[in-house]
Amino acid sequence: MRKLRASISLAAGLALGLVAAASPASTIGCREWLRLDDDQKMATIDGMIGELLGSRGKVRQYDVHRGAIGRCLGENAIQMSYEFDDVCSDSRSADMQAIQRVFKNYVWSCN
Amino acid sequence: MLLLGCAAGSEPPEPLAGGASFPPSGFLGDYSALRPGGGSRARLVFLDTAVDFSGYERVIIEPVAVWKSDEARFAGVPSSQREALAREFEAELERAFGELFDVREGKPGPDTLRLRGALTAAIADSESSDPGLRYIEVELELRDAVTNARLAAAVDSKGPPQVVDAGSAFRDWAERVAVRVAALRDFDRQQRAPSAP
Repeated sequence: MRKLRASISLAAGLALGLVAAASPASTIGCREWLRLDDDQKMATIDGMIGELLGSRGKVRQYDVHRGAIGRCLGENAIQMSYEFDDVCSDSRSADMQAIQRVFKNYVWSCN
Repeated sequence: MLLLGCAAGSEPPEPLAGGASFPPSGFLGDYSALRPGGGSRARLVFLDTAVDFSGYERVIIEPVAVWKSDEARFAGVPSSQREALAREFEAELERAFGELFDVREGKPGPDTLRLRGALTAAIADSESSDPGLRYIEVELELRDAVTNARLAAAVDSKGPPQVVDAGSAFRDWAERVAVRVAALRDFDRQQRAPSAP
């Protein structure tokens, strides 16, 4: 399973990103997440990272650190997808912002 | 990660190598919510993920403290140098946050964060003639300036086996923290933005 998730192709990610362009990946909810297959999950996380780094905010100013966040988030994408699975499978935590809370934790802690 | 017990005396505690570090200094008070970052992540971290960062525009940066809970944490570094290091870290925080937030003094409002920081260890590198340090450690905490609620915290260190250039370390930490807080703000703003039709 881990290898399958890790082997997602860039093309698949791009394709999904184009299809989902009207709906930002970073706003995905648990119901939608749990319907995705492994490749789609990884593409969604790629999309969340891309949206964060591509935002028009002032965070663009420190390109070195932006790049470091992106690399760290990318390196942790598989672990993140399992945490999304866990939080969304637990009815006590699977609210509208469950995925976003996990993602924010990675943004804060990623070196 | 290996956490060393508190060592007494003025000699650098042994062994301080291979990623070893001190336990939390006490500056942050309650460490129960902090978790090991692990891997490529910061050493100990906490974030209140329920907080909406989208409205924060200002940051009040408190003077960086020299938190001397144990003399061994500052082995070989005189008091005057500890203070100088703290002021250097404070200047880097002001510079980095100043690029991304309003850091002017003033009455705090609902858009204001308060940043508390401390230098919690700085150990001289006795084996080097360079002014570098063998080990350096900081603790940071972000609070809402009005409610005083803790929003985020981190403990991190740099050290052996490589000699640490304090200025570079402070610049790196300050920029990392400022960029991450700004990223959280941008992320929460994305959540609040209306979706494209």
